Amino acid sequence: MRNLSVLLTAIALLASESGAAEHGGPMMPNVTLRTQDNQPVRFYDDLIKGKTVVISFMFTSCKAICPMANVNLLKVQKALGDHVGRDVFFYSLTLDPKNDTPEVLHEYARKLGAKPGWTFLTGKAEDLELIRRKMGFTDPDPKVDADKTQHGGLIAYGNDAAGRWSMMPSTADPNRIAEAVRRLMGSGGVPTAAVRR
Amino acid sequence: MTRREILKYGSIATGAVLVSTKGRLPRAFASGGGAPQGLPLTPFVDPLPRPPTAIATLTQFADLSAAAKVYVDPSGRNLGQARFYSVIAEERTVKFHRDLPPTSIWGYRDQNGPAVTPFALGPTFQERISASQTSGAIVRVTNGLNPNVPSFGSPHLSTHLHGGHQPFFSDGFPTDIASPVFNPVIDPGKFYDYAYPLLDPGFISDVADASDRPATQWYHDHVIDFTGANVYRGLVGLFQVFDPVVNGVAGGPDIGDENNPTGLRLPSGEFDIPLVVQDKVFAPDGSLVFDPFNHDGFLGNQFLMNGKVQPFAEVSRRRYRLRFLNGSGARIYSLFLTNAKGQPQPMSIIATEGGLLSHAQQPVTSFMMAPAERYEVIVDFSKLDGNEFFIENRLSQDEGRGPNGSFENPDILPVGTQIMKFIVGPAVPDPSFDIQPGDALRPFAAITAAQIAAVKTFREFVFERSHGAWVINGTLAGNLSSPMAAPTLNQPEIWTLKNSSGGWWHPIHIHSEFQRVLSRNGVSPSPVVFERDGIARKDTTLLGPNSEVKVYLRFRDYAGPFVFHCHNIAHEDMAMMARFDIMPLAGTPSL
Repeated sequence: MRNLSVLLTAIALLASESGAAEHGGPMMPNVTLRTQDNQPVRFYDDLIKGKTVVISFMFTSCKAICPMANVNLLKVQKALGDHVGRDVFFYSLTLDPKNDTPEVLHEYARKLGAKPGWTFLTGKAEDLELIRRKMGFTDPDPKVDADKTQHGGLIAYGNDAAGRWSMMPSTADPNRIAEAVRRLMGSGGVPTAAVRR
Repeated sequence: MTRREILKYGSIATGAVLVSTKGRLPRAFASGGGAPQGLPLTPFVDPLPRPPTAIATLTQFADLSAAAKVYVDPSGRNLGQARFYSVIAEERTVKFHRDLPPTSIWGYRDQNGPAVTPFALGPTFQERISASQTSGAIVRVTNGLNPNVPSFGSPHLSTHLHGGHQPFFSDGFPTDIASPVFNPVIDPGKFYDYAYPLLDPGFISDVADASDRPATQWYHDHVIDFTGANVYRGLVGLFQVFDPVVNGVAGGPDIGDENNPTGLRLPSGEFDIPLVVQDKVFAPDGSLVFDPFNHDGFLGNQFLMNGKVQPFAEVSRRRYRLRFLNGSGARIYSLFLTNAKGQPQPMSIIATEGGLLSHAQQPVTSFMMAPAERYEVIVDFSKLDGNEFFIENRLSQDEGRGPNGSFENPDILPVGTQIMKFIVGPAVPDPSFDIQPGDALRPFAAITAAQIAAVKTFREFVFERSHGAWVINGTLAGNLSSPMAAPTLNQPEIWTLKNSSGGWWHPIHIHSEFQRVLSRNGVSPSPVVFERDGIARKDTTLLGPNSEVKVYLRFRDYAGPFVFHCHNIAHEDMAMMARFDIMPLAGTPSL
C-alpha cells in the first residue's frame, strides 16, 4: 500500500508539474507556437482540442522528403475538399525554427498552394522539439534522430475528442490517407467538455 | 526495491505520450530518468482463466452472406454440415487482477454463451479439419462497439484468423479496397460472415496435405493503422484446430483425446492449457494505458497470462500440454519453466504455429517467442522435483524495437519475471503418450533438393526504415491498393526475408500458407530454434537485426488479395505491410 501511495503522489506531482498533464487523451504539450501569419497559438488548446487533425514535420530548405510529403498532403487536402478547415485541420511544424520564420513559412505555403485549413507552424526550438518527441517523430538511433530529414516521412493523425491516434507514412497513397482521416472524422467522439475530468 | 522486484514490474519507455481507455486520465508514468514501474500488484493471487469454448449451432443464419453461403450445404449430404458461430466485439469491464479496479476493454464474446463474460480473451474455438468445402466453420462477427465512446482503438474492425488457410474474403484484409470489390471492414453496428472451410491445404487446387494445418491458431482484429491498439484493448481469442477422428492406427493424429488409442494421446481436456502471454500498462484506476505514438513498439510493465496479471494454476502431478501464444504487441520473450529456486526445468516442444513438429526433439529449458509465434510444450510435473513452478521470462528488453543482444545470442537475465505459477497437487491417472525424442508427432518430409531446384520464382523482401517510415525493397510499405507480389496458385516460390537494419527486430507473418524455413543467414537453421523445414512449419518467422531467412512457399486453394507484414504490431500499423495477390490457375475464372 505504501508503494501505491508513493506512486499516486508522484502522479499528482506530475499532473501539476506541467500544463500538458492537465490535458486529456494524449497529453499534448500546450506550448505556444506561431502560425505563418505570425499569430500565437497554443498547441493543444487552439490546434488540437476536440478536433480531427493531421500533423507533419518539415522544413522549408528540405530538398528530399518534405516536398514529396507536402505535394502528397496537397492531394489529400484536395481529396478531403471542404472538410479541411472545418472537420479536419492540417498542421505542418518546422524542424528548422531558426530559419523558418513565420514570413518564410508564409511564402512556402503560398508557393506550395496550401489551402486554408493547413497551417504552418514555427516557435521556440525547445517547444517544437518537445512536440516532436511526444508525438513519436523520432528515431532511437541518436545519429538518425539528429538528421532533420529523417522526420519528414510520417504524419500523425488523430481525433482528439475520440482519443484516437495513429501514424502513417506522409507519402502514402493520398486516397488512403484521406480515407483514414474521413473514418476518424466519422467515428464521432463526444464533445470534449463532456469527457474532461 | 530489489532487482527482482524491478524486473517483476518491468519498465516502459520514458517520455511517452500515454492514453488510457478512459481517454482522459492524467499520465500515470513519469517522463525522464529512471525506469517507471508498474503498480505494485501482488503476484499469484488470481487463478489462471480458461476462456470458455465457443458454442456452435447447426442453424444457418437467415441472412448469411452470399460469399459465405458457398461454404454451406444445409442438406448435410456432403460429408457433414457447417457449424455456425456468432461472436460480438463489445466494450466490457474485466478484472485483470484482484487489486485492480475493473478495466474497460474491447473483447470478443460468444453470442451463443452467457450475456456477460468475465474473461478478457474471446471464446476458444475448437474445431477439426473438415472433410468437404461445406463442412467447416462459419463465424459471424458483429461489431458491437460504440464509436462515440472515446477510445484509443478504432471501432472499425476486420477479423483475421491467424494461422488459418481460408478464402481471401474471410482472411480479415485490413482495409476496403476497390478491386476486387469487397468490403472487409466491419463498421459499428454491422456484422461480417467469415467462412473457414478448415480443409487440408491443397484440397481444392492440388493434393490435400493432411499433415499441414491442425494447429493452435488465434483470431484478432487486423484493421489498418489500429491493429496494435485494438489487440492491446483485447480483441484476441484462440482457435484450436485438431485432426479429424478417423479409424487410424495407434499413435495416429492429434484428435484431442488422450484416452483414444487411435490418436496421438496428447494431454487433453483440462490437461491441455492455452497460455496467452501479454504485457500491458494500467493506470491506478484500472484503465489500460497505451501510447499510440510509440512506433518502435509499446512495452507493458505488467505481465498477463490469459488475461490476468501473474495468475496461478493448480495442476496435478502428471503430463500437461501447454500451448503458448505471444499475444503482445512488441515484446519478445524467452520463457523458462523454473522451480522455486529459479532452476530451469525440462520442457518438450511439440508444436509451433505450423502445428505439431514432425518428430519430438530433445527437451529444452527455454524458447524464444516473438509476437504472434506459438510454442506448445509437454511438461511432466510427475518427473519434476517440487510443488511450485513458474513460467519465467528472462529475455532482457528495454525498447519496443527489440530485446537486448542478438537473435543468436540474446541477453538472457539470470533472474527474470515470473509470469505465472503452477501449484502441483497429487498425482492422477495419466493415459497420455509419454513422448521421447525421436518419436513421430506429425511426420512430414522437408522440401527436397529436387523440389527446390524446380522453383522458378524467387522474391526478395528487404525490410528497412527510411525517413521514419518503413519501406520494403526501397518503396514505401503499406500501400494496400495494389499488390507487391502476385504468386500463382500451386507454383512454388522461395522468398528471402531480409532485415538490413541494425537495431530492429521484425517477426514476419505471411498470410494463407505456412513458411518452410530453408535457411537462416545462409545456413540450415539450428534444430533448437524449432523453425527448420522438416521439423517445423511457421507462419511467423523472427528476423533479428541484420538477419536473412529464406522460406519456401506454395500458395494453394484460395486466390485473391492477402497481406504479409511485421507482427511487431506498432511496425505493422506504421505500414510495414504489403499486399500480395494469389493468382488463379490459368484457365479458371478470375475473381
